[in-house]
Amino acid sequence: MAITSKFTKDNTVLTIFVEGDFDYSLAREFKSKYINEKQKIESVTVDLSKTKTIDSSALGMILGMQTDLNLENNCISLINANEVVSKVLKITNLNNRFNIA
Amino acid sequence: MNTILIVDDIAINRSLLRQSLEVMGDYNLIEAAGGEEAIELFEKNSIDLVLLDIMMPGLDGCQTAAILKEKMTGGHVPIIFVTALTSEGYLATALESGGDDFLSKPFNFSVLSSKITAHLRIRELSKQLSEKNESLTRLNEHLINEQELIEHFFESSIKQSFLDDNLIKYHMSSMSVFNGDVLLSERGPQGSLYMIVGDFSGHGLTAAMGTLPVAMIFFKMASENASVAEIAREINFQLLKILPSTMFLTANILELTASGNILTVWMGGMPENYWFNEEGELKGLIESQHMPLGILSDDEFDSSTQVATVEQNDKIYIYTDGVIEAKNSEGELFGDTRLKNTLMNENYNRFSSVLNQLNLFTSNNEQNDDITFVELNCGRIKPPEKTLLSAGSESSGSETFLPWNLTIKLTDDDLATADPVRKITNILSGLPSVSKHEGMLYVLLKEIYFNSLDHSILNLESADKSNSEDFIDFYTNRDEEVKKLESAFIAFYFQFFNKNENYYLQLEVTDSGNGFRGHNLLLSESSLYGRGLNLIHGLSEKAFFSNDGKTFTVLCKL
Repeated sequence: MAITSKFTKDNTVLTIFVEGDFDYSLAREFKSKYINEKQKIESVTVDLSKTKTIDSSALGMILGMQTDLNLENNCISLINANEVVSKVLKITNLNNRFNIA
Repeated sequence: MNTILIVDDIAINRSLLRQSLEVMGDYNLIEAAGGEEAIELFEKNSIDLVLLDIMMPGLDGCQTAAILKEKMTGGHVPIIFVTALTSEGYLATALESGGDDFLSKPFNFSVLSSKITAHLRIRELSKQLSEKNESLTRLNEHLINEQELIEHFFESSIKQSFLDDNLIKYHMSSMSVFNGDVLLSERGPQGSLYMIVGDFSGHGLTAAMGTLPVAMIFFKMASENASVAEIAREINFQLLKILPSTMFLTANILELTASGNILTVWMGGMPENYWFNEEGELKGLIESQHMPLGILSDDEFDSSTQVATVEQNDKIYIYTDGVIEAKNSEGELFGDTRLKNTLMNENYNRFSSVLNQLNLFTSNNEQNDDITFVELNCGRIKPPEKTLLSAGSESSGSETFLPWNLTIKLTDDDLATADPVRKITNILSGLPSVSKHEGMLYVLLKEIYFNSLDHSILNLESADKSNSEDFIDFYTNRDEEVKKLESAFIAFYFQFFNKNENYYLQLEVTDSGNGFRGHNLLLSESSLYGRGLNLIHGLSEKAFFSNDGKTFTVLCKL
């Protein structure tokens, strides 16, 4: 329940919603949301509106997703981050790789 | 001494009456030679009885009596006509014009005496009545005055509420000046929204009295981040102590987490709440599970709560029984069914729709109970302004804090529990000096904790995490390894202090492991590892290893 997701009809655009603390405990669940459509996905939006905190392993998961899906920089968007989460994203300089809104 | 006004145009008649009255008793006597003069004297003096001749030039006795009647302000003043006329018809007219009695000339001394005594007695009673009236009027004014003051008092103690929040729409209307319904909301230190909707038995001032202690307890406990169960228990305990046994509070106490997705409810004696999702489907009813507050002793009291996972823009409708018990002019009740239908049939503006229906239904019928109707829109609550562990920020604000040290040592079992870092954060968030940095502190502690656990105690290789498959294996592996630990520990030593007008939190973490060989992990940021340390550096002023990598010291400016 901590992670939900939805695809557009053609399975090219994926949105993932993460609830609560985004950390290593969600690794398997996070991966399961995209891995079956590996070939089709062109861009991913991670909606952080319900994410309370985020840790480095979560950032690892997002980077891992980029590798798994073989996506260019800026094909992954991180949206609706709260202050705590935004600050972590900024400190780790991930705004060079991802669209952060 | 009673004052008697003698009115006659003939001087000899006046002096005859004066002489008789002087013999009869101790009166203050005033004479008037006609109607006009009589009216003038009546206004200037406090007259207790009027002896009035009927046949006079100018205003005659009847006309004069009518005018005098109008001018009586301090109670009834008896008017006795003194007349030589004996026609019964004429006397009747005279009495109708405002006289109270008559005395025929030539008058009989004892009749005059007894009539005057009798009428003065009536005058006395009427005077007392009028004085009582006056003091009642004064008392009433005083009461209204006091009521206004009490109203102000209530408003200022209850209006510190957080009801301007965009998550809450509410309507409250009381049947008298004072409301026996309670509606308070407040934001907790962790950003959650607390709310209480309640209804004291009875209405008016007596019912409203109870809202003051409830408000005090509610605001204090909300600011201390108390749980809904604790708040319910405390209010119950205090109300039981102070309320008369006939009074109690039906109430709904709620907390919506800052993320806006977990709703905790304690409900006692309240009508059920309606819960709709954003699409307008009824997701369920939240029903009362308890007795109202202020009845059961602390031992008997059940503070168990209901917890619901709510979605963004779910709406909860909470109301006091005044809504369903509102009556129309035929005495028919608004009722559950009408309320439910109104809610079900409207998708966008249920709140206004219910109020409109309620208004139409009751039209001009007088309200018979206090009414409260609330819509809670579940959503993410705007976090309080300062939630960040703001490394490198300029000022720490005007608040002053005392320095403290704290040691927490986690051993095998602690390390194997679900989220030990959350538990540590919870301890720290109780301290006012660091509570507002809770979120960041959690992030920071987690990185430090797992750095120790993974790389010093468990000796896992970070490089294992370089692709997502191994990455998952890494964490699965860790979860298994951590259960096997024997005599391992991670000790946190926190120091909070003030230096050069800035507050700092220094943290020394020591573990039982082989020590962290950290330098070779600070690789490029694109790799899947090493971000933890980068994050720690980014959040702190200073971070370094000592003691062969077994001690990690992190200094943060708050």
